[in-house]
Amino acid sequence: MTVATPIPTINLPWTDPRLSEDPPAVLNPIREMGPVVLNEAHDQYTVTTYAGVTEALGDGERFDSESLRPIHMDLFGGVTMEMIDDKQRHGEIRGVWSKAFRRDSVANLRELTESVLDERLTPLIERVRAGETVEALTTSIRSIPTIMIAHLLDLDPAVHEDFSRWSDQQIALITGALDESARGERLREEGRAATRAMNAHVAKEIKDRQANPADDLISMMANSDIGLEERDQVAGVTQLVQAGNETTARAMAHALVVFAQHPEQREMMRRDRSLIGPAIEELLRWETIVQWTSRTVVEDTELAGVPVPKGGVLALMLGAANRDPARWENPDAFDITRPRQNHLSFSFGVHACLGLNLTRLELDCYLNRLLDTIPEWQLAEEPDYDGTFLVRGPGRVVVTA
Amino acid sequence: VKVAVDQGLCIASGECALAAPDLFAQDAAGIAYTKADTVPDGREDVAEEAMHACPAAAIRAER
Repeated sequence: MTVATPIPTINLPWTDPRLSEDPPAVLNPIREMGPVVLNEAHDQYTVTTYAGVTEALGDGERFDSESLRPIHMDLFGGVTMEMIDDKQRHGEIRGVWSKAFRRDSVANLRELTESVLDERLTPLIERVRAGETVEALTTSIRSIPTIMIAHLLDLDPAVHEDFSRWSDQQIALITGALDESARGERLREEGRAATRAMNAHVAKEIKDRQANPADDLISMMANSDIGLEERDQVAGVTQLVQAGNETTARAMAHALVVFAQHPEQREMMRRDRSLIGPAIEELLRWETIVQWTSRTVVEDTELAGVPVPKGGVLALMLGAANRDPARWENPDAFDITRPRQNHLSFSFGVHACLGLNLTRLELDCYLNRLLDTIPEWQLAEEPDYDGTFLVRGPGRVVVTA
Repeated sequence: VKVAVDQGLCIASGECALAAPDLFAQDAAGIAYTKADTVPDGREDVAEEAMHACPAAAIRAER
């Protein structure tokens, strides 16, 4: 007879400030307890290894997306493809935009990206070059991905600033998503109001594009022939806006911090631009932005060899898996010359990020520009991670030449 | 034409198996593999389509 080993337990609220300040300091010791531990603070089976997280994300039949539903309804006001686990149906919905986000399609967006950087990044660069000390995130970086998406949706420039503001306000939903206190509920209500405003505008645009179709992303959704209710079409567009904005802006902010802290690797990259691709992957691995995602156990099963019960909620710790020593040699070192292999910063499986190659393009153009203009930028303040964890990044980045 | 999947880069999106179910499949954890190393005559275009559809650039083809 075999006796089941009791599953190790922890008690760690996801709002613990140590998690936003230095996630590996908290999560590495938890990984050493075993691939799956029960976090009693949230009653979530917490998975910290690359093998365990990919096993869960790669098998939608055993582990479905149900546990994300409340967050999704708040964020997007409807069901998006991220909630659909049926492969056939998911493929139909993803198919609306999948061609537009293919590597060969995204490669055509370089010119657009450069023009958005001209408008949104150049003013920051000019100020830094003139000797000013500037907070980069709110003055410049935050708006870059929003404006990119606004162009892909072919929105009237008159509403770009509205979209940017709603998108910023929706961040409260992300900040509040893992906070079960009254503060969390207040934040979520603030964010829901922004989602309602954005959805109302998107609904109007969808109607308009049904009457006057063009080749933008809203037209593709508005005229898709896959039987989506209007509410879910709207949610899909709102998700597209939301998914790429805060995450990409935070990646740009991390890049300013991490390369200022590793000037020798920045200089290598400046001299040899073929290192920018690998450097982007290492940046995304080392400073994982989406630290947590979730699935629900469909039937009693085992995950990474550990029994997990039907209905159990999994906390899949993408950042912890990205520091798993079973996959990476010396995982806590930042090293842009690592052998290339996949990390989990765009998630994994059918729900892996649709816009991953757009993010890579934006980061590529962005880094090239910084290296061309202010290659020795420095931080004038220590970065502050601002209590962020679900979508983690510095809240302010103050730079100087 | 020979095709191969770099499984270290695969993100299990399933795009290749969707584009060319006769050439690619996925294991239980979603990782893609080729059903045969050599693409059957007449299926070269489909193999190429699957290669472009891979978001992770994990599929290599050589003549």
